[in-house]
Amino acid sequence: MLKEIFAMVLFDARTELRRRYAFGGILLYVVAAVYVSYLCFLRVLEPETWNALFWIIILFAAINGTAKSFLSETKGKMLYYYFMVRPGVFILGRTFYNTLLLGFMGLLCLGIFMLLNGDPVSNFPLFLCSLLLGVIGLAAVFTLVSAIASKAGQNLTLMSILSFPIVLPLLMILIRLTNFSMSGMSFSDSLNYLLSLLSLDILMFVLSVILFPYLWKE
Amino acid sequence: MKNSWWKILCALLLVYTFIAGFDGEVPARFILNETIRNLYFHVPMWFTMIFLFGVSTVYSILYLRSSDLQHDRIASAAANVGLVFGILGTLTGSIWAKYTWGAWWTNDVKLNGAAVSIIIYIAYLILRGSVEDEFKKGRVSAVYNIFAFVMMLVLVMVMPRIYDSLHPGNGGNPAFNQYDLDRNMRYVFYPAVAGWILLGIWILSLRTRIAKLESQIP
Repeated sequence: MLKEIFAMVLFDARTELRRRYAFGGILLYVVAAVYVSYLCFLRVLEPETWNALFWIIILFAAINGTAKSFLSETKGKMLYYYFMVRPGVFILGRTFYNTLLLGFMGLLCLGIFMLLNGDPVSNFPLFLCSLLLGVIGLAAVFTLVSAIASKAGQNLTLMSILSFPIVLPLLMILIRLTNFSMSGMSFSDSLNYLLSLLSLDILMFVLSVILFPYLWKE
Repeated sequence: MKNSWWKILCALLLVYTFIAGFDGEVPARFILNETIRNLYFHVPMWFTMIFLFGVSTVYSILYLRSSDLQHDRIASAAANVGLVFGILGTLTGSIWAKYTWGAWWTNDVKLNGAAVSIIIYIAYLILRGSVEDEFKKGRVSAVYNIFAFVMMLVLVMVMPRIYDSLHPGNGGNPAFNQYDLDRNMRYVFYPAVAGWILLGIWILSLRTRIAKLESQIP
């Protein structure tokens, strides 16, 4: 099972690298969005503004990055997967791959963002921890919703309509956690939020493994 | 006539709710004053909404197992009726908030959760509208519905418990359990909840029958 999932992740990474334009497009999107925010303010941002801008950029980059995981698949290719792998392995593989992609993107975005817009984070490990946990949840939601949207007309608008409301509880916790890390709270103060974030991630993984097989059959 | 006893009961309960709700004895509380009567209208609206969304989710699960279109019709009708109760709950809450908090809307977890769960179910209806094939529509929207219901529970049940809230029942604010110590309110509140839920079921059954008739038109 684990081996299959690993093979699936590797396969996805290879196809991604082969079509470099898709990956490059997302990177360009992140860099451009951060740069636009830098040009708009041209100074070190208030923590609240910093927080809002950072998460909005991450959210849109995540939706663009993961949408293609089902939206750009052709019918023939889906049929090929259908005969090759079990549905649970398929969705887990895709979700893990998207987690890696979003994790990389998140770190990159964080780096450029801090370089250009200043660094109000005082508890950096806490921030990093919540970013990574958040990215896992975002990847799980977006991957499943992308599969749903691909069954309903393959369009990106539908995907954002469906996923934004669902992703909100996750974002609320994330924004609260980043606020904590900016005001220098310790890990033990924010343990409640970290645990609820983690349990939300696990919940989303479990739901997508249970529900995906029903989307799989055409 | 034999099967409509619960409809008569529903009408009687609601008549009782309106007469006793507007004319009965209520404890006089500072700030709340007469707005405490909103307990008989606002709170049962949310109970009914959660109940109907629960029904919708159960029928979505049944549909995934059976592929019986009748289950899908019930799931869709329950989401529709639940949405109406959700909007009514928001309106009654908003009017109440104007007279007690002094604003129609505040940035409160409970209010945000309510707004987002309404948006989630509007997204569900949009998703239903965008798939043509009946069976595929049922399957895709059932998957989204189950996912959405879990997220809605997180939003309205879990999130208010980890955040501070102005809303009665949270953050040290008294909820109805403390008001109905004199029992008078309890005698109206429970019949009101039963009456509103029965009304929800009644509308649901009518809508399901209409949907079934519509599906028989070639």
